[in-house]
Amino acid sequence: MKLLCAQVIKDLLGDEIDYEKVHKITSDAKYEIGDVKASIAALTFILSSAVKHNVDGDSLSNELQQLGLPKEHSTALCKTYEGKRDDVRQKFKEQSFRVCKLDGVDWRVDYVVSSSSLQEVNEPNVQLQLRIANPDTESVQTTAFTVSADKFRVLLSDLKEIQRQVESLVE
Amino acid sequence: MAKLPQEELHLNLIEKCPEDKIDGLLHYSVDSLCRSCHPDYSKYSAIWTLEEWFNVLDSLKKILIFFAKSDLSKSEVSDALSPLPEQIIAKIFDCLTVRRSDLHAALLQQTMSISEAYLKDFDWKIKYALASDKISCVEEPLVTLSLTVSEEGCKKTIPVEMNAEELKSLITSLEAANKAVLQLKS
Amino acid sequence: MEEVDKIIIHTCRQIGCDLDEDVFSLKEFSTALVIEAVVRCLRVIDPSINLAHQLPPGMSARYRLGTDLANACVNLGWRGEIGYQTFLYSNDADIRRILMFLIEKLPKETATSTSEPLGKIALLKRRISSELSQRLNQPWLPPVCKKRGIRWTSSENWQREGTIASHCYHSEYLTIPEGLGDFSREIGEDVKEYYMRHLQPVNLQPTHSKYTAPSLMERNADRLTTAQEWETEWNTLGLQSRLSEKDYRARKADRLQKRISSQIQESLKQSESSSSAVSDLLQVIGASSEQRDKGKGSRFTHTEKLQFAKDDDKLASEMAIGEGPKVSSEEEIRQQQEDEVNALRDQLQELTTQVEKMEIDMKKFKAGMTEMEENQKQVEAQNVESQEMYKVKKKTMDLLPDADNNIAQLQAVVDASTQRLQSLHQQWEEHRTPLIEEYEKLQKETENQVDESQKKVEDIRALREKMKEVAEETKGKEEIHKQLVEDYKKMTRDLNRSAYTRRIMEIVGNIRKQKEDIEKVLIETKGLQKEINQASGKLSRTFTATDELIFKDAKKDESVRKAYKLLASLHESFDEVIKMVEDTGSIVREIRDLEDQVDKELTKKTGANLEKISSDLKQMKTENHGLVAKVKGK
Repeated sequence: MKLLCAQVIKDLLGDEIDYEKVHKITSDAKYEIGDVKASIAALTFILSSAVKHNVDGDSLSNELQQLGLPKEHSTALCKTYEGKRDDVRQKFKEQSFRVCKLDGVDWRVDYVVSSSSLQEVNEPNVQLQLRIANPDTESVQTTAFTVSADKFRVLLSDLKEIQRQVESLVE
Repeated sequence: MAKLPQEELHLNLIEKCPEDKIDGLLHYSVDSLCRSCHPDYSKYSAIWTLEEWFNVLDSLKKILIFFAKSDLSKSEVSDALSPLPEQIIAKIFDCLTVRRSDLHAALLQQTMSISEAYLKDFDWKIKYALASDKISCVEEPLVTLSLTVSEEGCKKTIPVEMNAEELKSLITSLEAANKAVLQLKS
Repeated sequence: MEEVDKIIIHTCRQIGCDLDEDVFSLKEFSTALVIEAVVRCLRVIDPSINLAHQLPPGMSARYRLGTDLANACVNLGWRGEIGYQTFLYSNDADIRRILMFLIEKLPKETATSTSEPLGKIALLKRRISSELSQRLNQPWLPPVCKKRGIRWTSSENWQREGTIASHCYHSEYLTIPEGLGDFSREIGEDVKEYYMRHLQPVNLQPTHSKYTAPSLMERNADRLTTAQEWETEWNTLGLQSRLSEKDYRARKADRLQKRISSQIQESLKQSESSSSAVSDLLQVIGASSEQRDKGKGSRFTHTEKLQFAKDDDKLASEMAIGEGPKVSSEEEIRQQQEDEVNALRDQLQELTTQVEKMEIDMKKFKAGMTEMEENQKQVEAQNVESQEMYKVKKKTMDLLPDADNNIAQLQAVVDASTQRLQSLHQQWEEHRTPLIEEYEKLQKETENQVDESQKKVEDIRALREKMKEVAEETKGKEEIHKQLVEDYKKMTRDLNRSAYTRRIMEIVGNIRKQKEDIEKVLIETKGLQKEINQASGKLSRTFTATDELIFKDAKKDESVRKAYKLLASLHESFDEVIKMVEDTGSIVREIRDLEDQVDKELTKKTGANLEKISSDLKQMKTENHGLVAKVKGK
């Protein structure tokens, strides 16, 4: 039971289930292939729901016993659950839906001396390249653009303001 | 020095302008260089036909850009526009001096737009994520920064969603860039 | 008691009792009012209590209500006698005590408000949840009912639904009159003319009115950040340079220009491209201030600071962008140019090969030449050497015949020259020392000055910092002030607060005075007690003394024995008298107590209540009769 749970949690954490091991574990109990599938699905559901609502181990074990699971099984399940709860939670938090992520920034500062529009420019400007990751397709899209010095200053000061506000929202 | 191609400038049309209206027309053309403006033909309908008016406006813009670009002196201005009457040249020069900063800003903007893509505007909002399908209580602030980038004349909006750490890393790298910019500023 | 009544009445009004304006004391409370006040208090304390706050018409119902109220009070922890009669046949002392007890039990608003700000996040979460639950309970509204996507939940509250009225943040360049706030500075005549006659108001400048706000915000942010940036730079670097603002800017610009141009030139040298574009570029940079535009109307130069590595193709194509006016015959010209370029290139190649050949030859010749030159140099050196030798030898040969004389002469010449040298040295020393002193002095002075200026710069910086600090402090204080004012406004709700405190202070003062009086009386009583004790002591002592004296004599004399007997009886009767006096005192005290009690009982308006009770009893009896009759009638 414990080992099976560990395998399911491994799956939740993003690794692959080692089906040979599962087969070994379940062969003692003489599971059919359908039973194996059902038990893995049930465990996945139980564990992911528990993590989702951040249930502590004792409550989970109590609930499962009330539903009719034998005591040894539920305590075994809960022990593995307690051990990995924070990891899975962290993983789920990362997997939570995001429109996009900022993967990285590259920049270069240019100094424009002159241009066809203006004889004497003598202004710095900033080339920015943002690497924006789309977590769904797991692709990284790069966009590059020029920012004038004035705009850049406003952008930076605004970003700092945002940071202040965000920090007030994070304990 | 390159000469103004006078034959393209419709100077004869500009000459037709009465003296009290030339001021307004000049300022209007500077305005339309700085930003898109509502057409203002009705005031001048007595003087020019619509097509002529557009031509006049075009050539005035050309003249203004030409002079603003290289910051010419008064005598140079009057030389280049010699067929025009004195008063109009004086007015043009006045307008140039009064609106110097505006014209400079407009031309800087044009310089910017030489780049393949440049940042026009940006907007942001802070959101507080409460829950997701994976976790019933996420409670994490997220920032959406939407950058309006003008790319080859058309606007494109790039949304970037960041959490606190990503924002921090963005700011540190921009901070470094800012240091470099500061050194280059006078 | 008046103050207490006022407080009670004020609180009752606050929790919603319908009291007339002219009710000032609890004595004026009717039974209905008492019931209402008590029920309202109980409801505020415990919202689950469900009692009517109006007096029911039936007597039995009234009795039940009174009992319920009494039970509720006991449940809240009231210790003391309480029953239906307390409410129905009230006397104001009891009611006052009960109301005071209930008011103390009222949940304190201030306590809840102080415990509320648990932190920004908790507040935010609370607000989010309340907003969400409120919105979830709202019915759906079709979009046509919401003008510009705004839904009014009450006359003041509204919320946005949908994105119908929102638009992108789009800012435009605005022209804003400058220098208008500063009257001391003259605005040029033409500028003024422009501002007055041609400049459009800011809200009309953008293409659409909805862009006005973003444009203004952008402009403001731009100005603000510029000012901030300049401030920090000026504080850190500007002050150190000890220049005026203008000079500092000019110097920085100058330095920058130099740095950029030198860097470009350097990188140009490194990259061995000899195309015309580069010379063109050099011209732009080198002579950007005086010399302008040769041939081409425009140039586009985009220089990257450190890695100048632009391939010529790109540059040429970029240059082509700028060649605006000569579009008409561009094709032909280009063709021609290409041909020419090809021809020239061929020629160039030929020439280079020739040149290379020549160069090789030249190198050979040069090598031969250097060899020859070296040889020559050697010979020449030898020549010079032998010439020198020859000269010295010749001179000595010349001098040999008259050797002594010549030696003496030479010695004299040598002496003279050493002397002269010495005198010159002395003179030099004379001149030197004052000069050195002066130099040292000046150096010290400059050092002092430098120190001073540094100190001053430090001072200035410190002052600036202080200024900032003070400004921040004022800001903080202003905020606190604002908050306090707001708090104060909120507090003025109960107007009598200060009056109450004053009263309380007065009462406390009174109590203190009374306490003092009591102490005085106590001291007096103690004194009296002492006196009494002393007197009784004296008495017993004198008695024993007299007793002994007379007893001694009594054995001898009969009359004395009589006197002794008399003394004993005298003593006894006096003892009795003292006892009587004490008894009288205690009885008087008892009487006073009883009188007090009588007074108290009288205030309880027992008579009136008794009458009321008997009338109520009668009413109840009639009700009962009526009920019995009804039962029988059925």
